[in-house]
Amino acid sequence: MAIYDVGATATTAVAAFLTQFSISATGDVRYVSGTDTFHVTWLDRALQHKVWDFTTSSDDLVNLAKPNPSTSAALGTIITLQDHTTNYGVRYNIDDTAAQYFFGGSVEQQNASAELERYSGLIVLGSVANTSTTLQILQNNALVTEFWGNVANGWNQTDGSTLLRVLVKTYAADAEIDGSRVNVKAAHWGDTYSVWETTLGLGEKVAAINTFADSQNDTAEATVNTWGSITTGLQGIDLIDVDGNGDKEFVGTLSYVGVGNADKKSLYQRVKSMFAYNTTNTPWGFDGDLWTARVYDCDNLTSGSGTWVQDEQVSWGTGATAGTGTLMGVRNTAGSSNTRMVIHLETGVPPDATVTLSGATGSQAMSEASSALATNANWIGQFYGSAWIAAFGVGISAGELEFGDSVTSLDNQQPTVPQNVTLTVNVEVGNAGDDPRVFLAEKDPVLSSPDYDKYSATGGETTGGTTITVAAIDSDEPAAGYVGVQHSGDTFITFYEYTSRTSTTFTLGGTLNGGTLNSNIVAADDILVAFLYESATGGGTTKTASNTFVFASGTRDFIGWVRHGDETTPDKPVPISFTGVGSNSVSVTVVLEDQT
Amino acid sequence: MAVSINASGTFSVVTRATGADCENTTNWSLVKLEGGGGTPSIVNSVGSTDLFVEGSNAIETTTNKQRIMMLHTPGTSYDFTSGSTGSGTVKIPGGLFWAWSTFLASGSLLTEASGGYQMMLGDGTNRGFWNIAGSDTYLGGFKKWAISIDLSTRFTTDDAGTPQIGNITEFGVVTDVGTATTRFANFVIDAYDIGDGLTFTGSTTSDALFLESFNAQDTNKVGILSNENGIIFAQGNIEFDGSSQVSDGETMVFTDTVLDSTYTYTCDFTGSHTLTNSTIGTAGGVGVNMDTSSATSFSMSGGSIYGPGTVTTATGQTLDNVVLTSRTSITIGNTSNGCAAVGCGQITVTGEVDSWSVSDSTVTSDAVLTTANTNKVDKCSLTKHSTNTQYAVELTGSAATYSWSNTLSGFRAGATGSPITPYYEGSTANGNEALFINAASGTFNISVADGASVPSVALPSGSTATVNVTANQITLQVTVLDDVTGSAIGTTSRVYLHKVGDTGTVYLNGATNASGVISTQIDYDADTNVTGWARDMDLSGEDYVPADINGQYTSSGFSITVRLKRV
Repeated sequence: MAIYDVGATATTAVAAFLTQFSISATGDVRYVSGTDTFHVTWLDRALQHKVWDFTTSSDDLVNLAKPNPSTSAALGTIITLQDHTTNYGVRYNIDDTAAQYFFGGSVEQQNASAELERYSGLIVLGSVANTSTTLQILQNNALVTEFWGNVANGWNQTDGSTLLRVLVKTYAADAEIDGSRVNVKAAHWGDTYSVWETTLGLGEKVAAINTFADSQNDTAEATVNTWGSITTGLQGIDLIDVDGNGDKEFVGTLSYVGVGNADKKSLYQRVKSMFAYNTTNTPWGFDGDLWTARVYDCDNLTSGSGTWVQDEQVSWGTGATAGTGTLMGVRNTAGSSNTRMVIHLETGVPPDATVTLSGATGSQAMSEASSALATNANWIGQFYGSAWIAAFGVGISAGELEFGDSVTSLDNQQPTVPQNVTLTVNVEVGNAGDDPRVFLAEKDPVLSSPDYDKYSATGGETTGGTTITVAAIDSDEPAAGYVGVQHSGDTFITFYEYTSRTSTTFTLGGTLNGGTLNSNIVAADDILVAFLYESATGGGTTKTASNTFVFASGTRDFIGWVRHGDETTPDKPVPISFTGVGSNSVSVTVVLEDQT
Repeated sequence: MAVSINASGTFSVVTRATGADCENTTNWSLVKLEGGGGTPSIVNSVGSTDLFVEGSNAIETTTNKQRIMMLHTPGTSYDFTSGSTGSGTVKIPGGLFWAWSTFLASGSLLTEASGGYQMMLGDGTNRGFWNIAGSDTYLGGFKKWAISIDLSTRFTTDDAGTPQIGNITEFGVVTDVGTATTRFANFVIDAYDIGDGLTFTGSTTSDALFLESFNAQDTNKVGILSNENGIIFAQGNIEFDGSSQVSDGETMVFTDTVLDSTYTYTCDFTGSHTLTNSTIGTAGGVGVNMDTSSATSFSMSGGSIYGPGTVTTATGQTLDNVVLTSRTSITIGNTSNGCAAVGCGQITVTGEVDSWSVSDSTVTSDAVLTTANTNKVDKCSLTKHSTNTQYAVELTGSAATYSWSNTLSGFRAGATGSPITPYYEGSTANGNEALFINAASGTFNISVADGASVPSVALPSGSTATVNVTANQITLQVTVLDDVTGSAIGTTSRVYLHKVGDTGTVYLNGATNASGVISTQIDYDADTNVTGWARDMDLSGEDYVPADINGQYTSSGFSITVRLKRV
């Protein structure tokens, strides 16, 4: 296969062209046989040479008597074939098969009905990690037939940075095909994915593709395809509280539960399998090969009608505002109340503020222009072997997120995954029915005792109340735990359970001491927080009590004890302590012995 | 590579036999052919007359009251028959015999016609003599004497039998003073050569092909080319077969000392040649056939070709603005522009002659020009010889429509008509008609261009051909130029022009000439819109964006200049 680029020797290129193509007396340029490819300038030059010739030859049946076949502009990159049907009965034209052997520019012509046809030039620059990669060209929500083979086939690779050069038909019968937009995609299994949208036109336009080896994608594709479904996890607009600071909206909630090895890597590969080259998977109900990563957030929709259905086709607008896509997620399926939708764009342009979105029955008007999500060609984003950097809007189960993971909500919020520290006390008891109890609190800075007066009450709460207020609660106190109060006039400490807290207020709950204040709180009452003030539980002779706090800074010491004061067979109490607790969780095991 | 002799070329001079250089008397003998007294001796000239031109010596003797021959027997035999049918060892078909000699008592020689100065060829038994000069034609001095080996031109009175030119073994030079007393060393021979000419190869370095050729064969100061004040004289056949051989402003004259010889030399161009304002001619009654038809490329612009002999060119060559004088016949295979043919024989046009001037043709009872298509005799000026009976043009093509764009002088006046009443050979024709259509039948339409003379027409006796002669032709002309240089692109530009709305009526469909011009002549009918295009996409050198042509021809014709932009 010879590639005749624009700088080829004219006599050689034209001779090869005339061998590979026929030219009928009425102007039909048709592929006959051969494997050479030609810059579009040689279409012009070959035709011009033949109509300069005095004689016809072989299957090239034009000569000087024929009218001008073509014009050339922009250094031979814009070729226009001429239609002389009226005066000469000659209409120079190529067909789709012939077009496969051209590159480097555009070819315009008229069809038999004098309607515009255009083949536009596309050049794909960049590099791929594996030359077995086959580039895909998506146009109008369909794959352009792949006649170019994989990168190793070298189709029109006219220099070292060029992966592919082809023509794509962008006008047919006077109608522009999807605004001349195409998406070029590389989704070779084992490599990173890449997708690039470009708008073709006259001449040749560029798409850039670069892929790299993906070390986290080393399981056989066929194996991954047998793993559990994640289709549901991809769908919808879900609320996820990542940092304990409230729910935020994401697209779907991906989870590795039931997927491969039930770990992040398994989930990562399973998501990639949805969009791999020649996949049979159907994320959001469509062929994963048709994924172009063009995702738009349509927020603040005006109340409409009907019912939205997950994965259904959505359309909007007319003419220059028209488009279609797939509904990836909707906040509320009731058209009358929904306020947000996320759509994968498939044809046309994304919804602007003037259009109405329409599904099978649902219909709602936009109130503001949609916004493009900074998505990834593999949807889920990047995975480095331990942490995620999830693409914009991708939802991942909060329980599977770890400190260091990054997610971004649809509202561009990036909640920090908390760095939880868990203090665990395991208690080995003699009998399964034993009820060992655990007390654990932060150690006094000086004394070898709990820090009984760590906080000082603001005061003002009265008996039966459900809150206790202090000036400021440290951020690394547990979200729920126990608060001990030495009420004014008391010589003992009364413990309450708190089920939530703010930065100043503990909100009481549970049943300990009735769950409400049994005495007034006055200013300067000593307050301490107990991490554990509860029974260690468990079905056998191993009982466990634990609590968690969010690491802030430095280290902390804890002190407490385990007691089993069973009336019949009491055990010896055991003091416990954790010293220098930083950002890592710690545990201790206590073996209780009968008190003899 | 400078111009040099190609020893294996078409023409060559054979290696001299021992003694042929006359540096000594080896193989030389002296023969007293007539007269009383003793036989003189043959000696070296150095120490006596001291005359020589080449080398360092010559041989001499004394011719006194006698007819004396210095005879060389080379020791080998030569075959000069045209078909090399003789028994001689060295084959030189159509060969020549050159001798460098002088006679110091020229005024005492017998006349040339009486055999005063002769060259001799002998086969060992028989001898033939050729008169080369005498007291009436030779005033003395070293000369290069040359004869072609042609028995018909010898002086048979002195023959001793008829020599077999297929087996020549003797070469001699003879002087005869009759009874005159010339008793001193007076007869000198410096060298002799035999052969048929020279072939010159290589490329010129100074645009002086003729001079560089002379220099290439002048190593021993004698050769078949000589230089007289810059004019190169040739006494042999010449072939130029090199590449990039250029001659600018030179003259080469073919001449012979056999004053009444009808010998015709050959001057072939078989390589790549460019002649500008150079002249090739003849002197002394010889002729030269100049043939360029085998040349890789040939261009002659300006200059002249004169004297007897033929001229033959081939397609693709250039012969422009050349004066041809007294040529025996001319065959034009190329497209030739602007030449003048004066006093020449018949001109056969297989290519095209444009804007030629033809006068004083020596043709008698025939046509001055003959062609298969009068379109190929274009815009020529044809003047009849003052006394010779001759047609201007003979048309040999078959019945068709032909154009006539020539102007005439001296030929029988013509008239338009459809049909006309032609003149017939043997009856109404007087042989001086402008156009002789050599056809027995058919309809011939002769379209006379605007400004051209209406030709009278003759037909062969008994011809049933119908001849229509119409006038009012107009010229449709397109000139194609390079938009960058404003100059003609040349013969690679092509033009197509047809009637608007009628693709079947095509006016132009061809290549432009070197001036970028293509034209045709048509009968004017009515103002008519025309359309078409000019193209140049030969894939060699510059190519051009095609341009469309639109316009209207009127009674004045149609002319447009198209400037093609480069791709």
